[in-house]
Parts: sequence; C-alpha cells; structure tokens
Amino acid sequence: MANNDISRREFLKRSGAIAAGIGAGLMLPGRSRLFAQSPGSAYQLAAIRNGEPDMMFDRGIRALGGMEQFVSAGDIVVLKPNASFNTPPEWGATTHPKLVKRVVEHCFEAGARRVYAIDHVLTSSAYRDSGIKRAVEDAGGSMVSIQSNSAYGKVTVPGGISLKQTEVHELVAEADKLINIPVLKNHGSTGISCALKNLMGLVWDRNYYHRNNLDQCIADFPLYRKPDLNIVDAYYVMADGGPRGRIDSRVLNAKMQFITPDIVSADAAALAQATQLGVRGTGGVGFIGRAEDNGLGIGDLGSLDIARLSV
Amino acid sequence: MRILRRVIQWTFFLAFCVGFLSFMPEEPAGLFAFLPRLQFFPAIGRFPIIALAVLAVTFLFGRIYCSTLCPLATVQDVFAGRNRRYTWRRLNLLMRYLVPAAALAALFAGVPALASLLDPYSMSGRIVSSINELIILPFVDLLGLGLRQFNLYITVYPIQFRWVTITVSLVTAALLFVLSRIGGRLYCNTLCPVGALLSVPARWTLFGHRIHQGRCTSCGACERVCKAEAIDSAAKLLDTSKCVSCFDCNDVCNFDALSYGLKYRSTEESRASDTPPTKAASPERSDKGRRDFLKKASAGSLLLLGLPAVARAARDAATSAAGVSVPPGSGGVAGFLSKCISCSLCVSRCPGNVLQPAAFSQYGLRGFGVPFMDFNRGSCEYECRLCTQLCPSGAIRPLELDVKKRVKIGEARFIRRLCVVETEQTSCGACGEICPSGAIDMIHIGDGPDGALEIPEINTSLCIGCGACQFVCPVLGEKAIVVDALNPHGTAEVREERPDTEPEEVDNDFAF
Repeated sequence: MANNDISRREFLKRSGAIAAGIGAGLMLPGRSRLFAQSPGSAYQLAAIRNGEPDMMFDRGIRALGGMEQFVSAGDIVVLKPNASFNTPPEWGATTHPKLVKRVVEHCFEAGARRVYAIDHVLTSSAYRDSGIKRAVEDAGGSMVSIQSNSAYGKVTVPGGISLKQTEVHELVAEADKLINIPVLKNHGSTGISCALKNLMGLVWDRNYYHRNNLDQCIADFPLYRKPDLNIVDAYYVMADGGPRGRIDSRVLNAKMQFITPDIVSADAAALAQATQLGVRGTGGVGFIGRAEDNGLGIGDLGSLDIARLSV
Repeated sequence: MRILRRVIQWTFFLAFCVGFLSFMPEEPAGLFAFLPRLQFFPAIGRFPIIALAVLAVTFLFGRIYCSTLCPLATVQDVFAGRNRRYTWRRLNLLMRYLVPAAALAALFAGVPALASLLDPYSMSGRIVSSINELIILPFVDLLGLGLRQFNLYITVYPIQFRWVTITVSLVTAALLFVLSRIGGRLYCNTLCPVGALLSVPARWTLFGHRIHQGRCTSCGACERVCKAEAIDSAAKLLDTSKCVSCFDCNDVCNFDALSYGLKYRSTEESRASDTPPTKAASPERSDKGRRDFLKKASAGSLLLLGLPAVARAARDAATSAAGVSVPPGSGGVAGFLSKCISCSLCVSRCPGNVLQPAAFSQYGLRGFGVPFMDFNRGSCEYECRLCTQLCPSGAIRPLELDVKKRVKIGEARFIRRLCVVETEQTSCGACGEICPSGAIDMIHIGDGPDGALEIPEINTSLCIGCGACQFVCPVLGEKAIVVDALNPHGTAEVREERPDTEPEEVDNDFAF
C-alpha cells in the first residue's frame, strides 16, 4: 500500500523531472549530450588529485558547475557513503569523513532541505568508528541507522537479470537526490569495490547477492535507481586485504577523487586508476561491463570529457 | 523514611532496567555495569567483598538491601498492590530454609544456572529482558515508524524473541504474582537464597524495628501493613530476620510503640522480642525448636551427601558441552558453566546478537538459560568487549580489547560441497570479506560462467572463532563455513603489522 504511494509519487516526480529536462533541452539546443553530461559544465567527469579530500571536492564540483547542478532547493538528499567497517579512515575501508562532511555542507549550500546519510553496515559500531556519523552530524545532516528491516520496502528492478526485486530502505525511495560516495579499494569477492558495489549497502538482503551471481546483482541494482552523483574517494586506497582490510594491508595515500553523474564512468575511472596503482584484483572485475550492458552508463573513458585537476 | 526508601528503591530499579535495554550505547559500560555488581548473588562469585559488605550492613541495619537494592523487591511490591492487609505468618525452619539452601548448594556445587532460577537478581534480569523484547523494542519500532511520517529517523533495533528467557520469565512472574498475593514478601522469606542468607545477621541486627512491650496494645495496625508478615501483634513480636526494612509500619502505630533503632536497648525488650511470652507457647516452642533442629540437620546432611553427586554430574555435563562456543573472557565452557547465573545482561546488550540463552540441547539441564554463541543469529564483534565489562558474576572476566581480539574461542571449518561457489558456480566471498582477523584467503579454483571462482582457505592459526563467516555465509540451511568450539579457549596468532603503519605515499598521475 505504502509502496504504491511511494512509487506513484516517485513516478510523478520522475516524469516531472524528465519533462523539465526535455523542456530545458529544447530551450537550450546548444547542449546536445544532455543525459551523459552534467548540465552547466563542459565536463562529464572531474578527476582531482594532490589535495585533502574536502579541498579536492570543492575543486572538482566547481569544475562540474557546482553542487547546484545536482541538488535543487528544497531537495531531500540521501548520501550513501561507505561506512561498512569499524576501522579508521587511514585503513581505506570506509569513505573519508572529511569528504562526507564537505559533501553534506555543499548539499545544504545548494538549498537541500534535509540531508541523510545511510548505509546498511556489517557491524553497527561502524557508523561511529568510521567517523562518518560524526562528520555527517557536524555538518547538520543525519546519519540514519538502517540496521532493522522494518523500514525497508520491496521494490522491483526493471530489466534486472539476476536481481529482479529487492528490499531497499524507504529513504532511498523517498529521496529527491541520491549521492553515492564510495571509497575505492580492493575487494576479495569482486576484485575492487567502488561506486556500483557501494550501492549494495542500500538493500536489506545482501546474502541474496552472494547466492545469485554477485557481479550481476551489483550491475542490476542501479536499474532500480541510479545515483544522481558519484564521488569516488581515492584518498586512501586499500591495495589488498579488502574490503575490511587487515593489519598488514597495503594502503596507498593516492590523494585522488573522481566525480561524475555517470556511475559506470565512475567505476571505469576507478578501475583504471586502481590498475595503475597496483591494487590487487583489478583483473577480475566483472560488474562494470555488466552495468554498461545494462545501459547504465559509459565505460569508455576515451569518449568522455574529463577535467583533470590538481589542487 | 518510607518515602526515602521508595525513592531509593525506584531509582535503583529504573536505573537497573535501563542497564538491560538492548539499545543502550555500547560505551561506556560503566554506570549500568555497576548496579548489577552490587547484587548479592552474582557478587558471591565475582566480588565476595561486596557480598560480605551486604552481610555486614544487614547485621548493622537489618535487611535494608531487600527493600532498596534488590530489583525483585520492586517487582513484588508492584504485584502485591497497595492497601493489602497482611497477617503474621508462622514459617518453620524447613519452610524458610530448605529451598534457599538447595539453591545455595547448587550455586556452590557449580550449577549456578539452576540456582539462578531462584536468585532475585537473575530473575529480575530475565524479566526486564523479556519486557525489553516483548514491549520496549516493538514500541521503539512503532515509534520509529510514526516518527518517519514526520521525517524524523530514530535508530530502531531488530525485534528479538528469545523464548527461553521469555518462558522462564513468565513462569517466574506468575509464581511471584501468586506468592505476593498470598503474602506480600512470601518469596523473600521462603524461596529467596539471598533473603535466607541475610535473615541470619538480620536476626541479631543492631538497628532494627522493635516493639515497645509496655506501650503496645496489640491493636494489629502494624501487622496489617507488614508485607513481610514479620509482626505478630498479639504476641507483641517483630521478627527482624523476616523484616525487609520497608518502614511501612513505622508511622502507623498510634501508641508510639514501634520504632526503628538500636534493637537491644534493655534486657526486657531483648528477651521479649526473641522469646515472646505468648499464650503458654513456651514448652511447645522449645519442643518445636528441637524438631526444627533435627529437620534442619537431616536436610543439611542430605545436601552435604548430595553435593559430590551433583558436582560430578556437573563436571560430566561440562564435558558433553565441549562443542558449545562461549564468550571470550570465560576461559571455556567448564568455567563459564560453573559461574554463569544466566541473568541475560550480556544477551540483552550484545551488539552482535550472538549471545543467546540455551535451552537443553546445548548444555543439558545444568546450563538451562546460560548463554551460548549462536553463529547462525549473529557473530562476536571484533571491536567489542562489552560482555566482559558487564558480567557481574565473574563468568566472563574483563579483557582488554587487544587481548580479547586474540582469544581463540573456536575455529572455522569450510565445507566445500555446500559452498555456493561449488554448487552454483558463482562468485561469493562473503566469508572472506567479513573475516576480521584476516584468517581467510580467497583461492582461485577456476572460472565459471560468470567469471572467476574463488573459495575460502582458512588459516586456522589466525582464526579466533568469532563466527562472522558462519553468520554471513549465504547458504540456506546448513552453512558452508562453520565454527567448531575450542574449549578451553586458546590464543590465536596475529598477522604481523606492516613495518610502516602509515599509508604509503604515492605520487601517481591519473591513469586516464
């Protein structure tokens, strides 16, 4: 019942957004690649290096036309950082709190009504120990613990091959904007973990993924909902022992960040960088190609206009 | 005094309840771990000094413990209701001490779980835990649902239902309800092992309630309000060994004949309160006393004879329970079973939800209600040592976190034929990604239709048996990776820390 309401509301919202988008496209004929490109910017992807996580985000989001391009006044914004583990930022297992904090601040500056951060984590102390809860709250947002399934609702994944339906937290369905803030790291099961894999933290039953072709499920989920923006944290990159990391894991202080509305481009950039950095498992990444096959975005970095920035 | 007693009693009780709520912050365990430690029964095993202090206080001031610190006192007072009329109840030694003596014997014979069925602290703990599960958690869940309509998100917790605790609590509560309806604090003076122990110093207490023989008119006003049924107004007698020092009687006397103070102010009163000159009862009483002594002696010798048998049975039970995983800090199943009073404090607060009360299939009758680690319901969180900080009975001893991380309570075992990688030819790696001690390596075994196939390889010397792998294993039914308990516990090796703990500085340019 409630689900119907949500999906109807969501449908209206989406139709409205699409109509507005088409209208804008018609009014501004100069913008030819409307859906692949961030409106208001010549770039589809901003790659930033050599700065602190928050400074790099300031620089990169400006190159993409500012947060206003992605968050409108009055929006309810849901952030999906990677807060899975109760490890400190230097382990590279979780998104850097500095970055999360700055993203929340940008959302509010762009006029967001409310900003939530959510993650279905592996241990409940992870919100606190990763430093992300504090970061979100310091910037005025709320970290919502989503460890009980009472607020999850069943959704269908249109066109999903292995994942046809799943249960997501109702905030995902209610959000006007969904912003994905993954951390780039090695992952024992999927080679690397980044933008696409990070969305697994929005569903209740992770085990379903593990039983039913993990890569395909990861590539199917965004068919239900694609993030409006992806911010890849590659400040600390865990090179092996992922996703949790071990006491003897190699962690590289790569000081990088990639920002793009295209989730496939985000992971393609992340994979290329991980390969160059010598992260383990980059040879066995299967979900990016599958996501591209699902029509979720562009994996060919050569066809993108990339802003290459250094702070 | 009465008001003060009530304030203290309810403050302790409410604070005590809060300590059992599963959604209490995990740190600091401090304040709420402190209250259960003041409880007499667990203190016997963990802090004997506290138990001795309670006995000393009782000798000085009477059983004030039974009206302030004991959480079950509040439960009984609620059950009894207000404005009940009580009458003096004659209880012989057998009625007063047989059951408590059996409970204490069980405690010292190494079967505390059975003893705890009558211990007021453990009973309270289980009742409060059950209220938490049956009422508070569903309420918080509903509250969360309601607040979400207003875009407020509070943390809601998975609703638990632990039928062992709930069943025992319901039976306990029903028994208490009946007893407190029959005679106020009847439990405290017939079944409670703590009450029985405290009644001994209370009999000779220095300060206590006393009846002034000269002024008392045997009107019965005090007797009617005495929930311990310790006042025989006809005989002008107040039995301080039964009195729970609730002060309810203090201001009901119209003749200024009842007050709290030094008990033996005069020899006359001393004699009066010990052997009251009742209606020609004296010869009968001395006879009765002899009978009581004989009964007590025979019961005592029966218990003494029974002890070795119980202890042997207990030891045998522990051997058969060697396959059960018990929390780090307990040393192993044998020590754990000989100390745990199954109060369910650790179960309620376990953030990993791995501690669950046993029915009969884990430890047998001897460990009924004692927690065990159920890796199908949760796992022992790596960064957590809450139960070691909370346990009031000494069953789980405090551990520093870095020590706890090396305590080996079991060892994971991989069953390849059940693994989804084998049965579904799909990649999984759920166990490898969660393993906190780095004991699982993923080994390439070939390529399936969906890509590379990797199965776990367990480095058993690193495995601590936390059960995270078993818990997350997605196989339905029998899991493909399971933890075998290690009893007694051992010490795991740890991975060598990188020589340089700081992340490596790299200066790569973009790869694209």
